[in-house]
Amino acid sequence: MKSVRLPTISAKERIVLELLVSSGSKYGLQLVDESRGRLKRGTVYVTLGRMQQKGLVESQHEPATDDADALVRRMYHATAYGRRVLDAWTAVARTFALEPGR
Amino acid sequence: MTENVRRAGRHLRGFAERTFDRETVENVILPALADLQHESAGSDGGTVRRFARSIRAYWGFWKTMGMCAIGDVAHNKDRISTSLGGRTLIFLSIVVALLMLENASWMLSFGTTHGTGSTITAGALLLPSTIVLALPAAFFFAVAMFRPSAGIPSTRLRPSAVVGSIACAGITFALMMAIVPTTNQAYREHVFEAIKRTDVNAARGPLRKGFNEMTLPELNEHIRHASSSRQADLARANRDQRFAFVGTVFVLALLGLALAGRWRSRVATLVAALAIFVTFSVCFGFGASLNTYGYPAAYGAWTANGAFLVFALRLLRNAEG
Repeated sequence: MKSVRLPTISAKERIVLELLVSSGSKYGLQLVDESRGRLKRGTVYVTLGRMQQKGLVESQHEPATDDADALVRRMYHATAYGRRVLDAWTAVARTFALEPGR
Repeated sequence: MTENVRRAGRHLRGFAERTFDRETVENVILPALADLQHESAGSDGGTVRRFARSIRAYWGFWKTMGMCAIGDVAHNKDRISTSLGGRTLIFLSIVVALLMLENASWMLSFGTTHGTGSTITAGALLLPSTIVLALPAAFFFAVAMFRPSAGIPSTRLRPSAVVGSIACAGITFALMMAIVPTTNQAYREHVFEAIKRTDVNAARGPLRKGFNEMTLPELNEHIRHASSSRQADLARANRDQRFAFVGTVFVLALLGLALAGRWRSRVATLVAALAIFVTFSVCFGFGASLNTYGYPAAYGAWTANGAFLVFALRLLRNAEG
């Protein structure tokens, strides 16, 4: 059988994916606010940047304003690949939770 | 959006673009900065609440910058961290060798009387106290003399310099507070034992520890139970000097960053670095001795660090244009 390398995600990446899948696109700070302390301001953007590189999330700029100095915020959403990875990990977690004697 | 928020955003963006690679700026720093701007610009709540929110937002942003710096070093982007680490080791070897030369004549005469093995042990026990003196200097010269590859601005050195200075400060702290006092005492006992073996008239009895042979907990204990206030003051001065010396690593790293890439000529950079280092060392020694004139030990020990920190920040600001 051909070996398949399972994509790994960290606990924080999983929280981000769960939030994005359950309630749609969000800004970094919205994710922090809605995670109820599980995500921190100092690390959320690093996590999102890494997840973008892995192809788990994508981002879109919000429409630019007239203010040239104001930076446009970025909205993040889960990719189809990100959703599949989350589903796979959720299924694995459920399997282990159901396994007797563990 | 207020002018203050705009100006802060411009400065931070410029700083990040000069410090990190494009990918990190695009994927991590700019989204963080955009959220920071929007949060700081929010007008809901009273003045105190807005101020608290602003502090929280900036704190979060600087933590993100810190995380990016660690990531930059860990991934060795543009090969800067290994290059800086290698240069630090080279400068460390040079400075340690120069400092050990000072003891060479004494060790040679010790060797003729007490044998080679005993001399090697004595030299090895002197090594930690030499390394602790050499490490801040080595890191300073490694940063100041750093030349990045073509097309990479010297400001890309900042993440590695910040993380490297934290590592050097940690090593200096461990050496200063525990390892060096222990090896100093072991060195004295080793030499004392060697002399006792060859000189029957040598003094007998246990060797009492001086301040330089006391670890930090021992020094604190000594201050608590000092026989006189003069003794307590001297021990306090020694403790303050140790902490100030750890702080020196950061001040020298900032000075090194201010010098890095300032001139094209390596010789000009080396001359400037040497001049600054010698002046700093003289000021540090002078500050540390101020307690003998009744000046509070804590202020004296930190005087050079404070003055040169201001100087380094001015130089850096000047370099930023």
